[in-house]
Amino acid sequence: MENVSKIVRERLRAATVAADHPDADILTAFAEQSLRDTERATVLEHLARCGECRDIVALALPPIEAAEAPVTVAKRTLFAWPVLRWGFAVAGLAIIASLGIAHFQHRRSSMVAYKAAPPAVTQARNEGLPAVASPEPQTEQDKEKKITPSVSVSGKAAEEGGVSRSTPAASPVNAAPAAVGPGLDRAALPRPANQFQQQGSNRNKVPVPPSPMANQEAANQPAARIPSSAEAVEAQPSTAAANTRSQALDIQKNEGIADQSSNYGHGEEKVGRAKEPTDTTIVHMEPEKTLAASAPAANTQVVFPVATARWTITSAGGLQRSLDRGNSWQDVSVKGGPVSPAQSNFQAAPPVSLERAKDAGKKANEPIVFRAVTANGAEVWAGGSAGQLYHSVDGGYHWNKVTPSAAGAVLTGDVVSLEFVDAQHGRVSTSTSEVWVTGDDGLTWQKQ
Amino acid sequence: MMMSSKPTSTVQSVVNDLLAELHVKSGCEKLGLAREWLAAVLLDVGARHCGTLQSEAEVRTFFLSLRVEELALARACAAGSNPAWELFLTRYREKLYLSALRIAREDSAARDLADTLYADLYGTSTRDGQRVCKLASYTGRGSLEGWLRTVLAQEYVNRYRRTRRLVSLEEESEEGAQFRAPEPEPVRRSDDRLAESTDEALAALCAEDRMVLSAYYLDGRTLAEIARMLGVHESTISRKLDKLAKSLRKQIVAALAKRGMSRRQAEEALEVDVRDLQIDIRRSLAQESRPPAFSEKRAEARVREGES
Repeated sequence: MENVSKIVRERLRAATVAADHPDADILTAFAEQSLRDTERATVLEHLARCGECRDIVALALPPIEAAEAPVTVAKRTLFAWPVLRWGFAVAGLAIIASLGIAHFQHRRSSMVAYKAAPPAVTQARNEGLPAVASPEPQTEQDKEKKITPSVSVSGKAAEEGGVSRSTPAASPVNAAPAAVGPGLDRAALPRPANQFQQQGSNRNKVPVPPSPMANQEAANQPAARIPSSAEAVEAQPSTAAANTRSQALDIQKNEGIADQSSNYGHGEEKVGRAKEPTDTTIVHMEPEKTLAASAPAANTQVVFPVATARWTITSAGGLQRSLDRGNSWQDVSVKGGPVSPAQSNFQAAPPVSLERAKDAGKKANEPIVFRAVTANGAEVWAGGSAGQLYHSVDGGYHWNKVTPSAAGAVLTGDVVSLEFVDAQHGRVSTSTSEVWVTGDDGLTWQKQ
Repeated sequence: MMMSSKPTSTVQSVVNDLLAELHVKSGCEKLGLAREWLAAVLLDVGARHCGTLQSEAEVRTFFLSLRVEELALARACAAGSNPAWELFLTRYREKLYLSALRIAREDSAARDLADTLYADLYGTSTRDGQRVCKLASYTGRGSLEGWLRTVLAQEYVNRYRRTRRLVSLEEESEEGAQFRAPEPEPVRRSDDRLAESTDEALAALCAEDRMVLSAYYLDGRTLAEIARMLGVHESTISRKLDKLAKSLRKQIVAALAKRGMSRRQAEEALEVDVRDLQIDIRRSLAQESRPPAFSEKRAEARVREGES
């Protein structure tokens, strides 16, 4: 270090002033670098001249350990900046990647939906993909062509039919009635609930999973066949048939609401579409309706991330569903879809017959106290007081009332527990200590 | 009057504006202190420090930069609040003694120093019949802990430094007596020009540079201490001192030349001066040319390694 001459020291010392010392506050703030620039300059000027104040500042310096401690601690902690920085980067990448995947899947499923001319595509639900339906309206020509009972057309329709094509592998529920006739298919709501209904009607006629021939027949004679299916219901008072009929009737009653929710999620198209007279699959479950439905209109379709839904029962016995991993819960009514404020924006009531509206209203007035719920993907069972047992195959958008009965006995007690090891096999325990088991997704039951 | 009324009203309006926020920030609620009380404290602080502030934004920044929590605590202690005192003692009692020990470097002196400060803080002294509590003068510009250290240092400098200085001056005169050259008469005589030139060169420096020079050459502070006083790195101070010493010499020679001295004469004047200061330089070398802190640390580390 180069030395300065004595004269410099002398003059420095001579410049000393001993007045107007800054107070302790200012000196502290100076040492802590928290003074304004102008104040700092004043203090520096004073310090350049005042040995006492320099001493005070120097003596009042914080202990070195204290000054250095935070640095060493920071280096060792997990939350040190370098770690955090990489953490943020990784988190950011993960978010971007997941958004990208979600977007890609959404687009892919939309594209599939668009490719499939019949209105419905249900993506593999068990893989957690959202159910997608085609919003594509059908031209009149298109409809006519498909209605035409020809093998080639039905083959084509079957090929195009999103439900037929995409669901068999995906869902055990849908596996049996995989090849649903194109006529039904086209007019049908593409949701699993409808498939289930179709499935029911097919089963009435052919108790085993329907063969391609049966489907073709169904495809070729959509109007005529359903009534015969209904006849079959009447004619075969078997347990299975009775079950199916009660489901079918139930669906009829729910039809008004089901129609409404078919527009759910389709804000961009809802108004124009909702005003068109639309008929749904449920129509085909009603003989008189089916006959009337000579030109079924296209259906708007929706995207429901139901496969990952969580279910719970409130203390009051209400059924609730969460589509966002439990962050928010919406009440679900087995009479219609889930009741949520957001949904009402998308609902535009299609024309509903007075009778049906009345039915729906009557049903909705009966409160059900639920006591058990179980879900396996989109397959949901909910049971409650007085033998109330409901089943949904589309994550709770549509429900069928199931009344287990075997050999004249009917489940009447309160359902207290529900166990379904897979989509087909389940057991229901009641407050009357009855245990009912099913091996076919609730179509037939055995009392144990 | 017009000039002074404007900032006051600005302070008032800013305090009103920020009161809710600052009241929450200050944790006054825990100590049971009302907003009005905090407002009075803030206005007092504003009156002391906001005199030169012009714009409302500046006043706002000022109040937001205050350490309101510590300010409220200190002022509550000054007002005699028991919960505040409890909190204060829990937080600072230990630190205060440690700081006193670091400053006084000796236990009994440290205790004495700390006790004196406590007396000041409790307000045992009275002025005009009013209890005077030193905490009432804390305004929250810096940390309360730093303020306490500064107050201790002030007390120490006031009470102890003078006596020590006397002692050290005596030691100095004894120590250096036999080597010290007689008063350098010729230099004294030619001092006028030299002093003028030196003053000129020093006056051209900024306050920070002069402070660094004084702290280093007059107070014998280490590079590390100066660096921490200014909140910069040690190496910055080291470079600055080197540069300053060289440029000062150049400036003084230039100033002397301007005053009619030839370059050689000027150099000689400085040289003579330096030769006069042989002893002084040796002494200061003994003190100052200790290896700079960097190598000092390494030396320490080496020693520690050797020990362990």
